[in-house]
Amino acid sequence: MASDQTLDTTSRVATLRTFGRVLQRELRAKGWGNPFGYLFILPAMLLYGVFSAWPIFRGFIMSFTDYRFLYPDSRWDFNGIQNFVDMFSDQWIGHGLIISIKWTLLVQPTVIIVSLLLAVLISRVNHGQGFYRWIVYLPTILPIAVTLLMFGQFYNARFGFLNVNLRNLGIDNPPRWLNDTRWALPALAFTDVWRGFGFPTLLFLIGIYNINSEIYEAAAIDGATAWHQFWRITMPLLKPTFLLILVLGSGIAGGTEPALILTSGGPQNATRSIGLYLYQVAFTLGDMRLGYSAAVGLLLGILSALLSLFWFRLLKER
Amino acid sequence: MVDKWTRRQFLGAAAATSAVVALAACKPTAAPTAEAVEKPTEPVEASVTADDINFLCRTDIYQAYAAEAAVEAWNAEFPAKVIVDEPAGDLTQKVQAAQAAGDLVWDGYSVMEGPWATMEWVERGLIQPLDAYVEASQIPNADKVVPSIIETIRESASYQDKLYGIPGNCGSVGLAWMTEPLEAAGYTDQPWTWDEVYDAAKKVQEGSTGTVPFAVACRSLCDLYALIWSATDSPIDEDGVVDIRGEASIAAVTWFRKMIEEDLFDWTLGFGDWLKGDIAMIHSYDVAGTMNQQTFGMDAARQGVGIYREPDDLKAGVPFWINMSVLFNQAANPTGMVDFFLWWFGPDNKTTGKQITEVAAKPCYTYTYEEFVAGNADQQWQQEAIDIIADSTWFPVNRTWGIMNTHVGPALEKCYDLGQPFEPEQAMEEAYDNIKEDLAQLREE
Repeated sequence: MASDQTLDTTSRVATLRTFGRVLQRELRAKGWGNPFGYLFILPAMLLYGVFSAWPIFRGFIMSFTDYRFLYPDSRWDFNGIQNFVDMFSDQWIGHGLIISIKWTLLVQPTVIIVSLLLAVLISRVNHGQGFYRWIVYLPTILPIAVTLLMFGQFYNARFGFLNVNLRNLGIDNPPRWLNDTRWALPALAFTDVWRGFGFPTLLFLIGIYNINSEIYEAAAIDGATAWHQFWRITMPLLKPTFLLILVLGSGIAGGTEPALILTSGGPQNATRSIGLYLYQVAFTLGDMRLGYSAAVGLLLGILSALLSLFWFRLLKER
Repeated sequence: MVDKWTRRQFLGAAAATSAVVALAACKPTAAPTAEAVEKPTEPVEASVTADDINFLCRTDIYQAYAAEAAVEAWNAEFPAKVIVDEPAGDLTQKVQAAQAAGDLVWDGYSVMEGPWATMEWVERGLIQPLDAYVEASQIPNADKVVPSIIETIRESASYQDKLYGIPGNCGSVGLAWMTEPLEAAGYTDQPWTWDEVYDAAKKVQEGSTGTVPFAVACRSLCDLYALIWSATDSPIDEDGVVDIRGEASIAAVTWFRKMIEEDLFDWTLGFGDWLKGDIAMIHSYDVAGTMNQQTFGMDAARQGVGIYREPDDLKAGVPFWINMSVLFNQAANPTGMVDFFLWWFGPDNKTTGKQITEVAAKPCYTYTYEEFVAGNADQQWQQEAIDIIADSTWFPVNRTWGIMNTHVGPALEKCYDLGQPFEPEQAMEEAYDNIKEDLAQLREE
């Protein structure tokens, strides 16, 4: 009996081994590589699936439901495209989109100009480039809540660092930055520029470092000025970097965190971007309509993707 | 068949299969609702057993209510041990998720702010009523606790005729002031009316070394709502919304605008700025005065009650809210948790009563007033304040709070902005329309 069982186990193991060898040979023949490689990437795939792919999929499904967090039994109340229809009659969607577009127009060009300028300057420094690279990246690594609370104090109309110094310079009535409808959005946008210029600066630096210096030498020999070298050599060769930065900054939901922490959408809804509105509908207002918010999120995702596609088409290499 | 598939086809099929499996796995799970909780039909067996009591306590309440001393005293006296935890992040979502998964750790929480949060917490199935547990409790003098709650407060702590919280202290809006600038303006006691506050602010401005005469702690509770309460008998309309379009509201906004035009009211400042000591008067949650006393000295600041349109005519009183300790649905030890709450705020626990009186302010129990407020000149303002609250109109228990503030705030900002034309009726009408629009999106009861 025992020898029968042993024979049985041995033959099973042998069969499995044979199967494994055949599978390996077949997969290698098809160019799929070593199947054990898939085992190595399986944990990363699982993490991606659980924390990225699944939420995207779940959000997509949720956008077709009338799920209200206050009522757990509404989780699977499918309502077709009603959420998308409601968006057309929701005044705050249009209002939020306008605020978000203004935000993008304020932040993106400013970040690109500032970071390009800094990258060019740092690339020309003979000593201490590492130190300057560290300095420009510091704002990026600060926790966002810390940064925004710091700016909240900075912008305080009466006691803030900015207005105290403006009064010392003779400006008697400096703007009430976060309470003035004309200044609130630019003030918040500046916080994003401050937080966001570090990473593009490093990207531009990498792009500049990758440009062959012989091109500049040849241009100099031919009589090109510094400006000509910058405009005719540096800028065209940085096109891939521009594309990367523009695509990474293509999100339409910008301005959500600063408005959430500093102004709550005020003053007079001047900073109530579409991202903030989405957050409020999902987590603070009324029944907490997660289904409707998911639909708004889907709209934002489509708009962001369209914007990225626009940049690709505009800047693609010919 | 698989032999003939390309890699792309195989991966596509795998992704599609995973999606179908994931969708199929997402079947609706029964989540707890208020109706789903079994209401005990017989008196709950009362005992303070040796089972642990897992208690979630907000950090500021932990200090304001002397919770540490209370827990130590309880654990020394009773077999069931209280284990305290402090919340981090969004508590309600964590609790609701834990209840849905069936692995809620905590039994109760201090504090939920009623009445504006009550309906939401009940409808989400977060909390359960306390009546049966209170009735069955055998903690000494437990039967004295609920009857001793000031009646208006007890009504405000209830929903659909069930008690959902054991109140700790009562918050309301009142005037706080720094004594030095007010005394220089001729005010040794609280300015009581809108006119007196205006007069005091004017005199502070004339004698000022840069002190801001007047501010409010927050929009819209500490400015508009509080003044509406002080100027009308009916601050809530038939839809359960604060009557922002009524005569009292327009009068209040007009008064604020006048203060701003004369540079007496800096509407951009708030509670955080008051704590710096550079504001003469603030209309605020009525801890402003006591907090500045702790910072600048007992004689440097004072806390008073609300301000009123007419002398000796309190109209609807003052808006107030209750900081309540609540019992979670699916609590493992509900009897223990309620027993602890009843003992903590009961007549036998003097330490907490004294702490609330001196720090948190305005306790909710008549025995606490008799013990610590009556005859105490420093705390007399609390007696006045709680007497006003006892006759005040309370906020309705509904879901309008967040929606109201979202639309009233911007309307007020428009009225306060001197760069814009002043049309309070139009601004409030617009805000009201937006409120109605959002209310129409609510699920039918």
